[in-house]
Amino acid sequence: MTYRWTLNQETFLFNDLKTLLAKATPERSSDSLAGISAVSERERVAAQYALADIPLNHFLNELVIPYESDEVTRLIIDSHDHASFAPIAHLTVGEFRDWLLSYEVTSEVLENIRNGITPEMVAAVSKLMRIQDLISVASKCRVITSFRSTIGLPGRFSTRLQPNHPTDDLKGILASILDGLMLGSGDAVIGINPASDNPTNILCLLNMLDELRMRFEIPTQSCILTHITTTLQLMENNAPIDLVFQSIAGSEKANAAFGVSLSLIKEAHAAVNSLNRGTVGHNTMYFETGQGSALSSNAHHGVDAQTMEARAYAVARQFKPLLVNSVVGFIGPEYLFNGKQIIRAGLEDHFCGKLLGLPMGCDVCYTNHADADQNDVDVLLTLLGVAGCNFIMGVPGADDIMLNYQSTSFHDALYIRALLGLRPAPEFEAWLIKMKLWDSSKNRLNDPGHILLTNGLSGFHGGLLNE
Amino acid sequence: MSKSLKQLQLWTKARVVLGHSGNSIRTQEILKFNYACSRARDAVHAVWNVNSTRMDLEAMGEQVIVVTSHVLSRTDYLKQPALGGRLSEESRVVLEKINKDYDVVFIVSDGLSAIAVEKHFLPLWSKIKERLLQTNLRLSPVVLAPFSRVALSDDVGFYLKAKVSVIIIGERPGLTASDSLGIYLTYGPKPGNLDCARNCISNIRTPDGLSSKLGAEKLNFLLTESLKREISGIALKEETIETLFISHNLPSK
Repeated sequence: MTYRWTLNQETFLFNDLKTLLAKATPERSSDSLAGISAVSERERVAAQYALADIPLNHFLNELVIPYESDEVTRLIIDSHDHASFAPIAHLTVGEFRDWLLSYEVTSEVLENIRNGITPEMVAAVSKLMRIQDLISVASKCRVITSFRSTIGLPGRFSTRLQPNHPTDDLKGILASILDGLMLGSGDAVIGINPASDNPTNILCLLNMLDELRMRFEIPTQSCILTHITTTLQLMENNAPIDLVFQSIAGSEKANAAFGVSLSLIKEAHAAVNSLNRGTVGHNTMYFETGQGSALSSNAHHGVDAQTMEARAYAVARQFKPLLVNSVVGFIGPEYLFNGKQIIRAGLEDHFCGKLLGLPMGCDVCYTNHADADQNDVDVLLTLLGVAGCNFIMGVPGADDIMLNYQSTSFHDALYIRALLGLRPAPEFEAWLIKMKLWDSSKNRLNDPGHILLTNGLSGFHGGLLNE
Repeated sequence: MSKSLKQLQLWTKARVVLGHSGNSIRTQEILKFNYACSRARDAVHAVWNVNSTRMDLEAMGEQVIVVTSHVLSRTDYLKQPALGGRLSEESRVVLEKINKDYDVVFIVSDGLSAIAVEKHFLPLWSKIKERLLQTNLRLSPVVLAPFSRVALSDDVGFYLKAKVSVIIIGERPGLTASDSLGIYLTYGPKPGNLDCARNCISNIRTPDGLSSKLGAEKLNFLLTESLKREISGIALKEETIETLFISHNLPSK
């Protein structure tokens, strides 16, 4: 279907819905790289006018990627719940924005429409929203998940402890974990990006994490962020797997580039659920996403990066994940050029994911060839805290020495918790208090927090620490 | 067993045990971090003195050709990777005129770190040449290609009709190292080759990375095997070299 909008006698034509979505998107380098962005600021606004005028139910008829050729599209359409959609079925995209912002639309109302909205509807409305809108509406969304800790409760803010090491050295990784725990980090997950995907190496890391968790009775979960097929293989060999990790994207072809399909994820999901290792809950998947991943594997089908990202959330929500993490500045300036683009994209992802019912966290980050620095990290971190983001990364000193990029530090999490009066996940907070690492009356660290080192590491992991 | 906090720092180069001022990182640590960042960012935006590299190579007796990609500025380079992967029209004409069959063409580019090329390329080249002198390979002139991506090696190799294309290029800087060189080797260079058709040797720098000597040894192995078996990329895996690499990278503590 063709769309047309006239502004001051200048008429703009858009050939189809995906073109209109791309042209209505606030500027970012990924869409320019794909050659689908607006060619002038006037064209962008005309596209936003035209987009605002489209009825939401039209998104169920004009599909951005054909139903026949893409299993993600089939998932989106086949899982669409018409009853949940009914309260908003009469709205246009523009009216949907007003509806989302209205006083009457509360957390409960938003929860009730979750299964009636598609990623494309959410992406579309986000393109008409300013940063304060993205924050206002996201802060009304509540998505709570649990395994050994409960993540996403009101007044709580969690972190993934990310203790990476360039050679997966066990002592090196342990040093970063202990440092993070003593700074109150790790209540969402202790998650390692391994340098090597060798299954024996991964098993070593898993065993060490599990032993540490049990030795100190830490109410959290561990995860090695390796390919889903490696995790499947390890589960067959009875490795201590809490969560299954996988990177996902918004089209069948882009997922194929990651070496996954819906059926493969389903298989791993069933396998990890059967292990039944959760205590307070049973959300068992950890997904990572990021705008531009579909474009980087040439699997975007002419659809803009942000809409493709929202489609990845349709994949995620099928599996009731514990954590979904948008790694927003990781893949470089050809996708998000500067701090301004990274900040907006991070808030869009958080908004879209939350509205679709996902436990969104964000790796607030940048690479050194992007036009961004730690000041931009501070801005996005603060805005995400205000927006009610479920978790961020905790990296020693914000510097990941394996992946060579900068993210958020353990200290950054302390900053945002103190600033906004947020506390760690309740189970983890109780543990911090028990370990005398945390002063609950002041909601701050006890200083110094040596306790993990002075007590209880004797004989750990076959004498790893004996010298 | 009692361990002091500071001992954690002996186990990793990650920024652990930073202390804190209230909830925040202490001033001296912030300054250290900023310095590491500044080096990485300066490496990205540093300008490669191509002429100086050309003169150094010529002094070593090499023939040198300087070519250009479609990139005109660092901003273009960062925003539009595809432009850096294609040879400019003028350069294509120049290379087509040479039109000679070679076994190997070597291309050098600043990539994302001009500092890496300026610091480590010449020592690496000496080591590579030591090995090449023991062979009968037909080598093209060395091609210097500022503002290039790895894919440019396909264009250059194709127009020079080389069997193998090797590009030595500055890697994306991190905080621990902003001056690493990478080498990418492609058998049968032609526009449109996929990345899985290439072999990569990364992290070449002194003192903490892969040494020039080992880098040259690895390259020599790959080059010999690639020409012999007429392949490159995922089909060309080398266990011997891998062992060499792993043993080199073992933590020193």
